[in-house]
Amino acid sequence: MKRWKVWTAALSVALASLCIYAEPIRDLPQGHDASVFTTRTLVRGSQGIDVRELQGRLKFLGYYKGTIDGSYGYGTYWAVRNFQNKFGMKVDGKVGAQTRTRLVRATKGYNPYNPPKQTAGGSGSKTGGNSGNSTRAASYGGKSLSANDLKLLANAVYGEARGEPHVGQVAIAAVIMNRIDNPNFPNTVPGVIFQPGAFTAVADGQIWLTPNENARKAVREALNGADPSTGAIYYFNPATATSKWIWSRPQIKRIGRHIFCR
Amino acid sequence: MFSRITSLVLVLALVVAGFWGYREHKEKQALLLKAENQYQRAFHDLSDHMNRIQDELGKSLAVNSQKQLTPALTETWRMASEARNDIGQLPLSLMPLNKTMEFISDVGNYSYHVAVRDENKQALNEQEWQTLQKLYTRSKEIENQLAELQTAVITKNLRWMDAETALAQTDKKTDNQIVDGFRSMEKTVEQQKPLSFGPTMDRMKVNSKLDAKTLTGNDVTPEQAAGIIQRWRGLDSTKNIAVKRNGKGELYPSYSIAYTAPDGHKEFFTMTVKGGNITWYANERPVANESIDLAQGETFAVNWLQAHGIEASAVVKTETFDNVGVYEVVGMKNGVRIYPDEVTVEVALDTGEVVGLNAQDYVFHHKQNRSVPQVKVSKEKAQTMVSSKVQVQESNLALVLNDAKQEELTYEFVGTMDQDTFKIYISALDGDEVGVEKVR
Repeated sequence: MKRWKVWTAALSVALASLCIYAEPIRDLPQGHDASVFTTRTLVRGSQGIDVRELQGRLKFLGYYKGTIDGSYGYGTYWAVRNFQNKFGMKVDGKVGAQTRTRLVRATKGYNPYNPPKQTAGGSGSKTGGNSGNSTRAASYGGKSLSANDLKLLANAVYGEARGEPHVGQVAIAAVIMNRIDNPNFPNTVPGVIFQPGAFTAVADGQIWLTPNENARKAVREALNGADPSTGAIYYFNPATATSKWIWSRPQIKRIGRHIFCR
Repeated sequence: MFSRITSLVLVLALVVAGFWGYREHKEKQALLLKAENQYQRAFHDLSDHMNRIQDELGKSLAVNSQKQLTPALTETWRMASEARNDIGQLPLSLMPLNKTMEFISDVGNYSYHVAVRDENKQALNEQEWQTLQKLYTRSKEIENQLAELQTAVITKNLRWMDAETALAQTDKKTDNQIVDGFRSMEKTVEQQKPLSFGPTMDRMKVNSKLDAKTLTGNDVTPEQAAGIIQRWRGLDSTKNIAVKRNGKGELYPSYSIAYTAPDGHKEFFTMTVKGGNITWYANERPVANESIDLAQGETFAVNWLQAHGIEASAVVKTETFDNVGVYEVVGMKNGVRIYPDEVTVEVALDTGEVVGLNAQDYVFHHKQNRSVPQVKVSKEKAQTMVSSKVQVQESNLALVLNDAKQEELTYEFVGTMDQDTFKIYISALDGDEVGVEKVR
């Protein structure tokens, strides 16, 4: 009886370790040459695990010196161009079939699990899209906003307008951006958001709720120049507005429950 | 017997509750005081910074060499920025302080503008001296009022927390000395004649309205606007298209248009009244997983622009979010990138359909027969103006808006320094450095 127990235990341990061992093998069926490269063409602006792969391989060869973050920026672009130049290909900074094959061939010893540090986690199946937890910094009208500024913006949008239609949320983000440009308001994201009395969500603490993907999307759209409010710098909810003065501002339009004005 | 125990317990409970209440009260007072002190600090700082602005402006009027002038003016600029920051920390957002804020920002911008101009290291010319002198006297007025208010706050123990409550009140006419002080300050600034800062600076000021005069075409009626959307989107009828004229606070005369598709998703548009140009479009349909890559999406974007009569074809920036490709496209004429004619196009990477457009800049800057000036400086010559620390990788001719918001023909050099990439703009007319931008 006891021996039977020991055997099952040993077997399950063996099975478990086999499973753990098998995991990376499934990702890399033939040694280290196989890759998570997809067939899509990568250009500046691309995001995803295949970009990580690209950066990892370029770093392995010494062309790329930045961090492996899965977003194809200028750093990756120059690395690709240098690689293409060195290998006698057309230098266009795009990673199509030819560049991909040449790169995989040139990086025979490349092992994504023993890389020049920090590579992709696992799941080789995921191809497109943002990997989720990372927020990139962005530029807006010549100013660059940090990744944390974007998070603050998403918090503010969610706290102020989570029950509103999506355009209404984009409009709120646009109002904050318009205020940054306006000499009557502070010129930073935190300055505008935390101005005393400016936003009710800040006053009652709702800004500290965790924002959803919709709020983050609204912020990104506003940064790309979307402004459903057409230039508003104030907005209010007519049902709850406590200030008379706000009614005297020239109004623009109503979106959802908010009236936008200048 | 029983009642005695009960009363004893009750008394004890009362004592405990009273003690607890007292402690809560003390804690609340401490917090209120803390908040009050933060407001007080911002307010007294503001007064201090206004005082310094005035001092430094005074110095700049008195000195006679650029060597002394530049520090005084950059200090003014810095203090103006501090003052703006102080106001941002005060609970004044429900109060019209526009003119005062505008004045402070004008002081900062103008002193910076004069401080960095490099005309043979000269001190002020007559016009600059006059303008600075006006700023000096006006800032003195503001500072005097602030100082008066400051004295009242200190001697009468006025509290900012009271001012905050007074401002938040709806119906009652406020009777708060702090609020009144700021109101009268705003009034003083409002009554002053607007200053002219010369053509360059006046252009730099933020316009609260876009000029619809630059647009061509006739005014469109709401019915015509719906018709334009119907044709633009290739719809069968104008049913489900709601057109609404925007209110008087708008940037330019415009319609807000919403369309509800048969499957329930919504689409939104902004259209100029004059000419019926679409400045913004957003399609809220859900986007499935990508089947088109970012490079193919670019072709969809450029073809779509061409099919919709938008003359922009040079893709300068590509990004991707949530299976949507975002393309920043600028105009192209005789091999010159026309940056003012900029549109942002969003392509859904599931089908290649365009789901977003932001064309406000394009609509207000695009000219039918734009003439691009002749290059006066060769590319090689211009490249020598780029810092030797930057390795130039690419170059283009580009028409850009300079600091004074005027179109200028430049060479755009894309260069690297270590890991970072910069776009450096050198004037193609006189070889001056027009601007630099760090790109990612």
